[in-house]
Amino acid sequence: MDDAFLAGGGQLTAQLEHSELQISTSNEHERALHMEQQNSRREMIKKCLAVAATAGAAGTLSNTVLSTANAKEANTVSTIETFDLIIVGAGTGGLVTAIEAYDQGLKPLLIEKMDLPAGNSIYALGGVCACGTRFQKEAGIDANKEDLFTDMMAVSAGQADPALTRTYVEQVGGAVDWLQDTVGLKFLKMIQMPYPFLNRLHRIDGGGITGGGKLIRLLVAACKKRNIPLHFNTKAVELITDSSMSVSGVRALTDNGLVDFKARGGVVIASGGFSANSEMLTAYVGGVMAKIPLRGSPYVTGENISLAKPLFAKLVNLDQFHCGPILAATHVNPADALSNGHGVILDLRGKRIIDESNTYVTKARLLPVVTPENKAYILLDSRWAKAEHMVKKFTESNSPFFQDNTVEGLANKVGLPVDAVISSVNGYNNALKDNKLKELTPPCSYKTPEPLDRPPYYAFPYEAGMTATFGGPKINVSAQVVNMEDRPINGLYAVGNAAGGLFFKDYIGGSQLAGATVFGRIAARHIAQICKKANKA
Amino acid sequence: MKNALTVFALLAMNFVFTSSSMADEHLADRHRKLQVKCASCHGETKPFTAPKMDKCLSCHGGSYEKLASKTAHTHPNPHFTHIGDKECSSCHKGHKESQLFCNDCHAFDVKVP
Repeated sequence: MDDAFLAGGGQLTAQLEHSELQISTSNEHERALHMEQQNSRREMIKKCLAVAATAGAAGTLSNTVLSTANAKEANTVSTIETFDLIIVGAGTGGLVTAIEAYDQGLKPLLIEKMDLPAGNSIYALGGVCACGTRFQKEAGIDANKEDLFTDMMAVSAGQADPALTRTYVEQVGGAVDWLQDTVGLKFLKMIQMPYPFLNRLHRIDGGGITGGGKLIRLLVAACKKRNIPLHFNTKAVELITDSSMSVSGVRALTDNGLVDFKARGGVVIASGGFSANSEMLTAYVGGVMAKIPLRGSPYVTGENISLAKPLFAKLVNLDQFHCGPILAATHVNPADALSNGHGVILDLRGKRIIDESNTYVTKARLLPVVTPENKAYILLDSRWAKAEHMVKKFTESNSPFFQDNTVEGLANKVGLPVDAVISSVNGYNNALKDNKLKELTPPCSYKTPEPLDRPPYYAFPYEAGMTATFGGPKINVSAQVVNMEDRPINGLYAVGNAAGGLFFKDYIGGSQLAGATVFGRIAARHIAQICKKANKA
Repeated sequence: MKNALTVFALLAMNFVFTSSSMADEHLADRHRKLQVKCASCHGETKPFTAPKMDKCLSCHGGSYEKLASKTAHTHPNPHFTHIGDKECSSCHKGHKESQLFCNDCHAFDVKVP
C-alpha cells in the first residue's frame, strides 16, 4: 500500500517539477502570474498528497489524487473525519450498533449506500424470536433458554456455531426488552404457534406497514434523537488498515467523491449478506438457486464479503441461504395457502410434484429443483377455512388466482392441461379413499388429509424466492471478525446477516432481526471497551 | 401450459399499464397554470434538478406525516410504506408521466398526480 502511495506521489512530484520548467519569463507581470498559478497548483497538490498520506493510500487513490489534481474544483478533494466507530449499512444490525455505541458514550458514524435504509429488514414481516423477555413474563409465558438453544441447533442441523447460538440465547431476552424501552417497539399479543416458533415469536406491531419497516423507522428515529450522523448515498468501497493490518477506517464513495472515514475503535460491517449479488450467488450457491426471484432487498450485494475478504477473513457457510414462496410480479406472499395442510401442488403440466405435507419453506426450496420454470399452483377447495382470506389478499394486491365450481373449469381458466389436472385430483382423492396417499408418486403425507371435493375450487400460483443468505465472515462471541487462524482481526466487526456462523440450513422465524439486535449491541459494547483502554493508555 | 406460463409473464409487465395520470398534462404544467414559477420549485441554479422533499412539503402538507394522514384513505397509503419516506420525485415526475415507485415490485392501483 505504502509503495503504491509513494509511486503516486512520485508521479505528482515529477509533474510539478516539469511544469515549473515550462514557466517562461517574458516579463515580470507574466512571471508573477505564472508563479501565482503555480503556487496555487502546488498547494492543491500538496493538499491531495496530505489526504493520500493520511489515508494510507492505495493505487486507486493515487489515481484519484491525480484526477482530482487535474480537476477544476480544487476544493472537492477527499476530507477525513475521525469517529470512534464506523458502521456500514443502515439495517437492523447497523442502526442498533449505532444507538448502543452512542449510549455507551462513543461517537459513531453510520454510512448507507442507498438514500434510505434499504436492506432486508424493511421487507420482513417483522418478528423477534426470544426467550426470557419481560413481554413473555407479563403474559405468563415460560420460554426457556435451553429449549431455544436446542431448537436453534436442530433447525441448523447441528451446524450453527454453538458459542454464537449460546450467546444469542443468553442475551436475546435483554435485547428485546431494550427494543421496547430504548427504541419504543411494540408487539402484538403473543400467540401459540407451531414448531419451531412456539411461544417465542414477538410479532412487531407495524401499524399498517411491515413489522420490519416499523422497526427501522423506530431505530432511525432513535438515532436522530441522539444526533447520530447517518450518511446516506455513501458506499463503503474498501477497509482502511494500518501497518499491522488492524482496521482503522473505511473508504467510501460519496456524492462528492471518495472520502476516508477514520475509526479509533473499529469498523462494523452491517451490510447484510449477498442475496442480490448474482455473481456471488452463482459462485457460492450455484445452479438454479442463483436465478430465483428476490423476496427482499435488491441492494443486498455482498459487501460483507468484498470488504472483509482482502483481510483474510474466515468466510463460512457461503452456500447457505433461506428460500420461501413469493409471486415475483406482485410480491404477494402466498405462504398461508401453502401451509394449511390441505390441497395439491401441481406444476405447469398439471402433475403433482412435491409431498404437500412439507413446510412452506421446503415446498418453495424444492420448486426450482423439480420444475424447470420454478412455478406451480396450489389447488384447494372450500374445505380450507381461510380461502376467502387468501382471495382477499390476492385481490387487493392485484395478484392472479383462479376460482371455479369444477376442477375442469378451474384447469381451463388457469391454462393447465385439463386431463392431467383431473387425473391428479382424482388420483389424490382415490388414494385418500384407499388409505394409500403415501404410495403416490410423490407421496402425500398429510396428517389429517381431506378430499378435494367441495366447490368452489381455487388455484393460487407461487414461485420460490430468495429470502437471505447466511454466509459471511465468521464472528466470535464479541462480534469480531476472525481470520483463517480463528484470531480476531483487530478493529473489524460484523453483525446481522453480514456475519457468518449463527445460521445454517434454516432459521427460526424472528431470529434474523433478533440476532442483528443481539450482536449489534455486543459489537458496540466491545468497541466501547477498546476505546476505554486506548484512552487510559 | 402456455397460458399458465403467460399468467406469470403478463404479471411481470403489469406495472407498465397500472400507473396513470392526466393524459398529456404533467405535474409541472399544472403548477404553471397555478402561476407557480419554475424557480419556486427548482431554485435559480441551472441545470435544474428534481426538487427535494423539503421544497415540496413547504406547500404540500408541511411534513411527511401530515401528508400520510391526508392519503390515509388510499390503499395502500403511498405516504406510509415499509420502504420509508422516499423523495417525492421518486413517484411524482414534473415533466413526464408520474409513476408509483411501489410498482417496481408490486402492482397497486394507486393514481399518482
